[in-house]
Amino acid sequence: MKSDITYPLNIGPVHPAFKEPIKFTFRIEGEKVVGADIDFGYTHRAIERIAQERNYIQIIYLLERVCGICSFSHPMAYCLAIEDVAGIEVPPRARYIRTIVGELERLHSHLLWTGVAAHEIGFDTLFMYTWNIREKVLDCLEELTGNRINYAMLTIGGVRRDITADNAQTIHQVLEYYEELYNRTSEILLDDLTLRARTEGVGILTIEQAERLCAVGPTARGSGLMKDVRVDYPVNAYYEILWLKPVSPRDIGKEPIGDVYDRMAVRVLEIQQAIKIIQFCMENLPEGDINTGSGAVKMINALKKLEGEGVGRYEAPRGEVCHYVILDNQEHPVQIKVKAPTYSNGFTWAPMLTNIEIADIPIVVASIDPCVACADRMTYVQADGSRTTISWEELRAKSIQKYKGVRRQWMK
Amino acid sequence: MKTESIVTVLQNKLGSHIQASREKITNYGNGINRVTLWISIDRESFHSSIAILKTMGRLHISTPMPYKEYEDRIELIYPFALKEKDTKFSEIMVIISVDIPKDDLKIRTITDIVPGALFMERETMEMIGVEIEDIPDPRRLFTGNYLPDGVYPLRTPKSKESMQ
Repeated sequence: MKSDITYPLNIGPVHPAFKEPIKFTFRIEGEKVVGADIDFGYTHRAIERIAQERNYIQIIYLLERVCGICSFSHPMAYCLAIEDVAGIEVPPRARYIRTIVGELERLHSHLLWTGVAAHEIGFDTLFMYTWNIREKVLDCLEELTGNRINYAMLTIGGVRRDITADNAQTIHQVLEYYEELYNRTSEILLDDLTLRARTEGVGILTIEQAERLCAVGPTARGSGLMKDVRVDYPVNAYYEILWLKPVSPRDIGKEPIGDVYDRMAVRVLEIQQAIKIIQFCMENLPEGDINTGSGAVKMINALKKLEGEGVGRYEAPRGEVCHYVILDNQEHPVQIKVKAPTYSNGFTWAPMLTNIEIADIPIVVASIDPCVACADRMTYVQADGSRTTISWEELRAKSIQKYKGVRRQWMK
Repeated sequence: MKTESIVTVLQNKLGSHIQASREKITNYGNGINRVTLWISIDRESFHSSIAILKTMGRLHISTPMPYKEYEDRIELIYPFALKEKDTKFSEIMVIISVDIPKDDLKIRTITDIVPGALFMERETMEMIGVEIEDIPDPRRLFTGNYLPDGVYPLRTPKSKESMQ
């Protein structure tokens, strides 16, 4: 194509290539991207507003719905924030169980990402391979918690289910399974020539840009910014794991430049790290209670007498999740602010997407492991093209009506 | 990093503009602490205080902006994570709060110091209705342009009527 042609390229908000709605506007010269703009807000569900009308226990399950893949991370940060305000001490066994489930989530999230990344560059054999082996950890989570996602495992002051001897055996089997497969999987992901050709030197985010733009998680670590809530801030059982350190491409002998390959290397190494953390926690799992013993009603009654502010931070697979809660003698927090990793990392797309080829857009966009639902949290509903606004009750009634219609159609 | 040294440096440079400070330290044994420092600063010195904090280490904005609403004023809360050096468990939360009167809901942008705070400031403008002065990109972040002027979805108490 003529290199002097400059034109805009709009993708989204709803597009067959997207799993979630988001709008990109690129400025293209020839076949090169010279500018990128991102527009959020197409899947906003007003979760923070809804949380102001739910009690402290209901909010845990509401926040699991911020994101399907990080369905442990958001309620985890919320519970840590409430425990911070109330000064609740979590029993050691519960801290270890929280760490185990959190790392199992990281394992399945990173395997999911490697599949998505492979699919984005057309390597569908690898996509099928990683999604196939991911089933094992999902089965393990289902056995531990009852669900593949939305685990309902957490409560304020601990966890809701213990790890039994049978569960422990399953976890050991799953860890052995992934240990056996790790060398083969990492060899494909880190050494395959096709993957390297498509990811090395593409979508660069320098360490200075990562720091200025407040990047988090593997996106920051891939640029060499050693930022990881698990080692920066005492959370769950992580501070008892003395050998724990943030993963970096330096661990495979490569100086990080912040390209897609570096971000991928961090996630691959974190798969191995998650296996080791779970092994450590299983070997050192303390005996004792799994929560404070307060039932939901007792907990709500205690919390509604409190006033104060608390912060809960947790390292989700995609990066830092941080919740800020304000309590003011009510049955629900007067305010809860939710920050998901994509809220921080979305900003880093602009430098990454500049000066790349059009063909590289999908893998660069995928390289921060975006979760639009996480970052988006009332928009007006337009009925029949007119700008009619409807109330919450009407919206709920319409949702139920629609769902019943679908059921009637398919459940005959 | 000691919280006293942060407060002392700010007080030495900004004097009585630092209105109040308090800290919360939770000990986890072996010298590991979780530290949260709350500092109230007046609007005049707010921007300078963020610039001073930035010189103390890696300053990272941690959540979208929470706020508290009173009869005549709004308290904006900026939750930062500050890390002086790359040692384990050295990151502390520094929560800066600043009061602005309801008849003049304006505050200066901090994106010239912490560029990563842009999404947070855009969300604050559309959700709470605070004008961020000199913001490099004043567009809405989540809500559409069809939202009428003066409707701020997250303004409590009970902004339900305005939403309907």
